[in-house]
Amino acid sequence: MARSFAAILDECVAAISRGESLDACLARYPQHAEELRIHLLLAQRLRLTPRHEPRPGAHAAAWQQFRTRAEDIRLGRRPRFSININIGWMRPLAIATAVVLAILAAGGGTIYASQDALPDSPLYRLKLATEDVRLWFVFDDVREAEILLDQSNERTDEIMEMIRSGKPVPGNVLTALREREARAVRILEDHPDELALLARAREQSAAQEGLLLALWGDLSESARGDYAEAVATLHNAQLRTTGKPGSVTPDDLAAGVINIAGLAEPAAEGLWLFGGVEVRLDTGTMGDVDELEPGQAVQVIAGRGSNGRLLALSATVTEREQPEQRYVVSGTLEDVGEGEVVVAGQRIAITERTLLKLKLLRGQQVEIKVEEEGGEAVASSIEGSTGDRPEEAPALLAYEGVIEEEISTADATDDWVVGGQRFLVTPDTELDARAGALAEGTRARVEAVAKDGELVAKRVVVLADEPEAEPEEEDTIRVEGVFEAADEGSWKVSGVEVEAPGETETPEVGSLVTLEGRREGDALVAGQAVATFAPKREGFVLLRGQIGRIEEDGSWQVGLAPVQVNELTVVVGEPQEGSMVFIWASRDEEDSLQAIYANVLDRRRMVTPDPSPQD
Amino acid sequence: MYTAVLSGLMEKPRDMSADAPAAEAASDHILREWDLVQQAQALQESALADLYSTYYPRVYNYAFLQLGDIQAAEDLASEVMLKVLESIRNYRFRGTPFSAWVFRIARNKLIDLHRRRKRHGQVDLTEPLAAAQISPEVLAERALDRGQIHIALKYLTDEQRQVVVLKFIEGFDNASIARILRRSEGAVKSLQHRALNSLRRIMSGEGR
Repeated sequence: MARSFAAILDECVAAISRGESLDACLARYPQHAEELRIHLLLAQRLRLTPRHEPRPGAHAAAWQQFRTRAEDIRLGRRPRFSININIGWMRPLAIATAVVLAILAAGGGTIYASQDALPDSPLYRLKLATEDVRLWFVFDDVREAEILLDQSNERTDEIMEMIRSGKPVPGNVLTALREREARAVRILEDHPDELALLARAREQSAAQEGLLLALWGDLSESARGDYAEAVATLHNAQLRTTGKPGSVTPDDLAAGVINIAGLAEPAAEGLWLFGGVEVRLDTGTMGDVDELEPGQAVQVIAGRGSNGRLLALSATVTEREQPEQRYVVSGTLEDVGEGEVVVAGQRIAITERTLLKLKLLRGQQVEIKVEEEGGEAVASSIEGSTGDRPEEAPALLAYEGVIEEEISTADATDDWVVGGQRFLVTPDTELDARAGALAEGTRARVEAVAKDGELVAKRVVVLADEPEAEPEEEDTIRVEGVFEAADEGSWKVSGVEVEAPGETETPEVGSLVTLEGRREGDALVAGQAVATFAPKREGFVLLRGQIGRIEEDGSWQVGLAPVQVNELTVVVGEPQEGSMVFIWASRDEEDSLQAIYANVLDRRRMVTPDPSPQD
Repeated sequence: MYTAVLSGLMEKPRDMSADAPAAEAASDHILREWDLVQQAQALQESALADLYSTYYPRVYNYAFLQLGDIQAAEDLASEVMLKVLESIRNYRFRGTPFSAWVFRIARNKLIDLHRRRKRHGQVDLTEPLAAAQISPEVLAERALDRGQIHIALKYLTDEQRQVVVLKFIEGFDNASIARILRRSEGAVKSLQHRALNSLRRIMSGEGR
């Protein structure tokens, strides 16, 4: 009687597990070889499935329970709990007990001491366990959800504190945040009448997701998996609390995120190009998905899957005509007060939502992302100089050139070559491709900082072609940065080596220099110094944003910052209200912010710059 | 290459006895385990600790693959270990390896849990919220990308999933699986074939 395929398959599975080769087994059954091979390879993959290890706290808690029961049996005592009790109900206490016992056994520590513990503290687990215990005594679902939301929010504060202290964010706090938020949402799903709490859960999840999306570069390497799970859960929590059917998975975020602004162009069903980058939109995407039309300028935050594909977490149509209310200012902290800082004479409020990536000290170099809220400038984030020399002038580099190689957005970090210069593009890099596609041959402006010997791109902006202007030579480059050193005919500007321009005096270290030149082979040759500016007492302030208003006296309003623009200002490009502008400025005698060099990104020139050094 | 990978399975606790050396190794393993079980039956602390450290993680992994929920898996593993402790004095070696006996308890606890959840109308939400709404095709692709085939187990029937987990992940032989599931060995072979066939179709995008 012919053997069934199931029996043959089983025989081969057993034979291979004993050491026989796959081919030897297939050779015995040539008529089934093709199907057998697929099944046996699949069996092999199954055997390689990674094991899930229990959490140490739960493991220890269960062991305590096991030992106690063994002792009861030895002494002939009746079990203290029926084994049919749902242990989940007891888990918080069991874990807390196990951890407390472990700590007491180790000879020290108190629960009180743990209450201020941060995620990198050995007491942090105890802190979480005591929070669990608190829930153990809560018998009202809605109250439990409320406490879980509070506890999840506490994790947000802990993350902010870690960031402020310059410490990498570990995975444990991300997991604790995710689990508490998810448990709260699960409970609230059974209480659809709790509208206020549902709204709170939704808003809190959105704020937490926003925080985490800004933190990719601040994670410890081992926390990436927890990060993907946390962002996915927070995103799904928003979808579920708004009644949307979609979801994203941690796999969709396995290789980080990408932040891109670009013009929308449909590619295929469910797929759009934004600035030439293909992104999938589906039911898990939040924002203006249903109203999306070709040609609209769209801000997209997308997760990058382990296969390099991008799935939009959110897609927001931006009005190109209306100036953005966000801007970026970099400079010295002139004052640090209660709930505010002063940079370039501008008072910028700090709220509990401000992401502080450093401890604020007067005299520090910082970059502040500012938003306007009710006519007030509010910091959404404050970072220290990420350059190699935090106490010196910000080594921010602005570099313009042609994208020289086919670029990829498939990997979490990638090298892009622009104007012969290599830049590291990370998930923290903002990509602005509203003026054209991010593609080989396109002119782009890269804002970067030198870090660990690499130029890390903070922003990449595609520059528009100006049809009436003469096309720029492909190898033309522009460099704006801080002069660092001169060595045998070459200058180092914000970490980039450039062949020094002829007949130009070597500037003072710390000067702002703006150069035009070309790429010759691997060398960057500065044809001319457009301008150099000696450093002032308070150094330079960098301002990046849209021109909100141009006053009659010629001054500009960038965000909420008024900037004096006069005959001393070198302006590159043609400024208009709504233009994106990058301004180097300093405080004048009257404490006004005086623009020294303004680069308007549409590339038309208004004032012919004077190449001679100023000051 | 496949041989090397597949033969690694022998490093896991196995109950196989298909050829002489393997049978010898398996019987050695069973004898050592029997010795340990006898000490545990006398409630010797070190033996209990050994059994616990061996089986708690295995039962947890088994439960997590079935439930996709960390906390539920922790609870179930804990319950199983307590049941093992209370019942270990009744265990007699009559051809069923101790490991199969433990997993038989785990299987029963899992069935109890499903019954309880059904009775209470509880929804099984895995830690990524709403992950179950992904199409099998997409899921299969992702599973292949990350080598996490266990995600696709969700699309198998309960018995198919049991066979896959017990055989390929926990390393049991057909006879032990048959005892755990209370099915014949022939049924186990058939379930194994159907499970692999379903997984293949899911992963090739043909759906279930």
